Amino acid sequence: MFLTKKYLWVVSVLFLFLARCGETENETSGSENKEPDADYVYKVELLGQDDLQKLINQRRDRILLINVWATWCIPCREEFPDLVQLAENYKDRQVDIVAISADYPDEIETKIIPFLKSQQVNFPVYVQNFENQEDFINFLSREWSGALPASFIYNATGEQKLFLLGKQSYQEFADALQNEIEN
Amino acid sequence: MIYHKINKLTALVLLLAVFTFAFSGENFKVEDFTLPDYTGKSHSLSDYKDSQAIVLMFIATQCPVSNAYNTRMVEIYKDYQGKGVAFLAVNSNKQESIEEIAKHSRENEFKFPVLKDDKNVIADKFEAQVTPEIFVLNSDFQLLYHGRIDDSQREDNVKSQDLRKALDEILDSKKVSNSETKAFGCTIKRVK
Repeated sequence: MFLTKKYLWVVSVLFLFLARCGETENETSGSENKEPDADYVYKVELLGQDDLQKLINQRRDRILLINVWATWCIPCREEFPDLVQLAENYKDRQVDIVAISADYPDEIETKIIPFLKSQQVNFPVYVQNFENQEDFINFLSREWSGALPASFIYNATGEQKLFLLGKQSYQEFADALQNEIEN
Repeated sequence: MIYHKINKLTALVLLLAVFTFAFSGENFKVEDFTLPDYTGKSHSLSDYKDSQAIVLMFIATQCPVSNAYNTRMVEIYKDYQGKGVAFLAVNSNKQESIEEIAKHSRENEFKFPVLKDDKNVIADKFEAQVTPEIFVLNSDFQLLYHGRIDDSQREDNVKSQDLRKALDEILDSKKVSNSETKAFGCTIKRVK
């Protein structure tokens, strides 16, 4: 009886593993809603200028997609299922995805984490904590007005290669990342 | 080499802006334009040529950041319209109807005209990207200030009243000391 239970458990784990592999290979838009993962502990840290510079510099030969968003920004929220799907589909292709929230630090528990749970977000999320928001905006691009959402792609050596203003589709993100991978 | 794929729409905006702004001395100059308010009445920049300054405010009905500034915009209007400053709000968001703009304006007791920028033609000319976004012009339509109203969505946290400071300097015939500022806001939703 014990062996049968153990066998079923192993089969279940194997089934789930294969199912996840299938998702990885499926490069469709991640627009479907997912149930929150109640067991995962979401941690959202503050990100100052030195932290962001370090994040960009420490590339370890991986491309970086930074998405700047806020819980009050509807197009930003609409992008998240695609970002989750991208993070899954590109994790083995030398791409890191990081989101930086423009919400206030005191909104981490009340607004940010509940949203991340609802989206089953699978990449690091921070809250910008520069001395003022204008410094943060200019740090990422002098050409950026501060309109959200905005995304920035850095190559594997930490050089900014692309600034994407406004809501992007899964395919637009995928094309941009693929272009950088091939370069 | 860094390149920027801003998307086709923004490329069009930049192209239009090149044809619209003419560099004149230290300031960019914008051409006259005419837009209807939500009652159908037309307003041209040239209607306000006798003003000390013209404040154009790109706003939205649905953007939480823009809405966080509704009361502040009303207060600034009250404080400066008597000093010869003209105020025009512009709504360029494709999904926000005339009816919605009228309702929003009445609910927030806006005394300044709110113009409907159909097909975001004027937003394109100004390269406006975000709401709220402010452009202050002199009577020759030269740009004197561009950017935010102040430095915090939360009124209690404001440290720098950028628009008020710029208007005070203009009224004192001084050069605007900080003529370009930025803040987070909502992207203007343009027609494709």
